[in-house]
Parts: sequence; structure tokens; C-alpha cells
Amino acid sequence: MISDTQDKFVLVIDDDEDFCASMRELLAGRGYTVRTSPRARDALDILGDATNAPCAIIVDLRMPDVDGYAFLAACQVDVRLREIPIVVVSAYGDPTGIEVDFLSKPVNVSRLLRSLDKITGVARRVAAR
Amino acid sequence: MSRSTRHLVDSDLMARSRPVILVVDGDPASRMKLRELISPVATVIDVGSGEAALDIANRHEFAAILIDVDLPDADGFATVTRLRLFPSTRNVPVLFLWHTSPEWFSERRGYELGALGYLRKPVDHTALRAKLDVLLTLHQRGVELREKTREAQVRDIYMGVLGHDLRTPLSAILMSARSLLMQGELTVKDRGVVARMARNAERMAGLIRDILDYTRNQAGQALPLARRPTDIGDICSEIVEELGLVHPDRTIVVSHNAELGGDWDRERVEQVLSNLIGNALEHGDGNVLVSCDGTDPQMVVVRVHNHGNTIPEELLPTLFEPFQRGSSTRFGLGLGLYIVREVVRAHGGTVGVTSTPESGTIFTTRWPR
Repeated sequence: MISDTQDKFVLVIDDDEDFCASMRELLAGRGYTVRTSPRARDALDILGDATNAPCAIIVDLRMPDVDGYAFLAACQVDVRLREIPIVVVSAYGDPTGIEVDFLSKPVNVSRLLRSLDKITGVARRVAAR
Repeated sequence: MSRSTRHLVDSDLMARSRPVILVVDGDPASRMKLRELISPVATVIDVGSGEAALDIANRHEFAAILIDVDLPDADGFATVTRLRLFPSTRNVPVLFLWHTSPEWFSERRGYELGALGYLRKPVDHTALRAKLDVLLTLHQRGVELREKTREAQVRDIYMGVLGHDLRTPLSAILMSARSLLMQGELTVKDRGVVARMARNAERMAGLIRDILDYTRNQAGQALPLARRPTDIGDICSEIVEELGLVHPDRTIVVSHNAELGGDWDRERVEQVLSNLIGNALEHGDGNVLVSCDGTDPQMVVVRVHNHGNTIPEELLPTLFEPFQRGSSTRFGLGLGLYIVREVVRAHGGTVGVTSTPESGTIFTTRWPR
């Protein structure tokens, strides 16, 4: 059974520390539990822990080492990760050809919260089934 | 700075600005003669063997290579073949020098290696200078072209910093301000301060985007559109929510009718409408009215209406041109309305304005679905 806290667990992947911190505070104010990761590779390790899957992932596109595109591709091929909704937040254009929610930086906060609420609502319905 | 240091710096600079020519010739007397002839127009580096030429190939950017076909350790053709393997000498023009014809000599072979020609030794001064003049002119043009390319690259990096790298820290500012505004614990005064911070960060974000769009437009690039099913009503609600937080003392009234969906670039539509609604808050008095009209199945019409100061009639014809007085504010660059028009046009739509003391200022945008 997925608990309510897990239901609202969001993973944020961005190499900018202040961006992560402000995202954490913003989402915490909305009742989300947030874990942040400055590197996509570490994020994949966090996601490897199947007992605590996030209800949504917020990911930047341009990052050193493994970038957002590579992360999205890795999620696509992993059966467990494929179902997790992803919101791409980037200063570098819309990732055309990939079916994800996209928000450009600076983030339109209302839209981000709306997207997340919609996603977690969906996640709850899936969990309830 | 000591004298000797200065001397080193000067010669270094000189070497950089002067073209460098590589002379490969086994005969010291011939090398000395060539050095004398070439020195007035270029810096000469001379070596006595094919092996020595290969050793220094990567150390300089040569304007031309003069090479004897008959070297003590190799033939000139074979050496040039190997010099073509180095990135630094791959495309450098080559002139072959020859004195007597060894049995393997073949003029054609040199041309096949990309040689520009031959000079018979002892080298005739006039012939050498004529060929060098052509080579050095071409070299200079190449250098200028590379400098221009570098300038363009620097400009691209600059625009990249402006357009992209500034957006992440701005995002952090805006989200932090928003976190504070969402908390109920702030005093009215504190809320005002935080709202002002957020408002100005938003304005900065808008300016950055405008500059980037304008630059892209001036460079002849079309505004890229990522069209997807979008609802203008949703966009208006989000903008009103955002702007309402940072303008706590103002009211924005949104009216909808009918279906407001279409195939648009959501971020771009948002850019246009927040610009127009932001302007209405900035320049107008009282409530701002936003009406979204979806009764036409072919298009959605969005009107942004405010009372207060009107736009002087003489400014109306050029209001959507860049850097116009009417479209700029004390905070702006006068690019906002220009970008508005460009985005609407990119969607195949139109934007217009009326402004009278009786009915106020109304911006009307039409978005084909």
C-alpha cells in the first residue's frame, strides 16, 4: 500500500543548488515531500529503491555528466520508471519529440503547481485501484 | 616590467600578427637566401630536413610552406603527404622548390598533393614575391574570416548567458518569493516587500526573453513554435493568479465564453498575454478586464482592457515597432509589444489596439485555432 507521504513524494533533479532549495521550499509549502539530486546519475540510484517511488519527477535538461535527455531515455526503457510522470523544467527550449510536461525557466509557479496537483491526483487514483 | 620581459612580449605579439612561412630545404645557403627574400613580408622558420619539418608542423600556424622536392632524408612529395596528416598543416598552401630533376621527379605528383606551384632554384626574387603576395593575401583573408567566426561565437555565448544561464537563478528568486507569499505568516508590509521583489524579478525575466527574441528575430530566425493542444482560458487563469500575487492591490477580471482550445505554443501565448495584462496593470487604473471569446470556431479572440492613461494617437501607428517611445516604459526597452506582435503573427494571428478616454485602452489578439 502506498502511504500518503509517498503519494506526494517528488524528486527534483537539477544541478543548481539554489534552484533545488527553492523548489523544495515551494513544494513543501504545498504539502509535498521533496528529495533533490544535483546529478541525474545519483537520481537513478535513488529511483532504484523501488520501495519509495516518487509520484512525479522534475528534471532539468542541461546538466553535466548525464543530462536530462539521457535521464528521460533511461526512464523510458525502465519498466518501473516508465510510469512515473515527468515534468521537464529547463532554460533550453522545449524537448520536442518527447511526451512530457514542459515548463521553461523561470518557472511559472502556478502552472507547475497545477501540473503537479493534476499528476498526483492521477497517481492517487492509480494507487486506489 | 623589465626591458627583457617587454621585448619578449613584443616579439610574441609580432609573431602572432605576422604570417609565418615554413621553409624546408637541405641547403643552408639556399635557406639563408630564402630567409632574406621572405623576411620583409613574413616571419620565416626554416629547417633542413623532412623529419625536422614534421617535428615542428604542429607548433605554428603557417601561412605557406616552401619545400625542396629533394631533401637529404626524404623526398619533398613524401614529406608533404605526411604534413597533410597534421591538422595544423593539412590545408596550408605549398610551393615546391627544385633545382635539378631527380629521376622520380614528377611535376604532376606535386599538383596532386595540392601544391600551388613550383619555383626553380636559385629562386628568382620577383617570381617568389609575386607568389607570396597572393598566398599572404589569401592567408590574411582566412585570418579575418576566422576572427569574424570567433566574434560570432563570443556573441552566441553572450546571448546564451543572457538567455539561458540567467534564467535558473531568476527561477530560484521567483520560487523563493512565491514560497514566502504562499505562507500565511507574513505581515501586510512584508507581503508588499516580497511581492515587489517577485514583480521585479518577473520583469527582468520578461526583458531577458524580449532581448533574446529580438536578437533572434534580427538574425533572421523565425520564432520557434512548439504547438500543442492548449486552452487559452487556463493560461489566463494562471497569469491572473501569478500577477495577482505580485500586484496584491489590483484586480484582474477574466470572462470566458465557449470553447477556448486550439493548437498553439502554450509558453508563447502566455508570454503575449502576460505582457499585455502586465502593461494594463502598469499603465492603467482600476480593474483590468480580460475577455476570452471562443464563439468563432476558427479562432479565439482575447481582449485586454484597462482604463486610465490613454496611448497618444500619434504613437498608435508605430506602437508595435521595436524601440518605440509608446511601447517602452521607464522599465522597459520598448521591445515588449514588438515581441507580442511577432508571436501572434507566428501563430497566423493579429493584434490591434484602440485607446480613447471614453472606452479606455483595448488590445485585441486573434488566435486562429
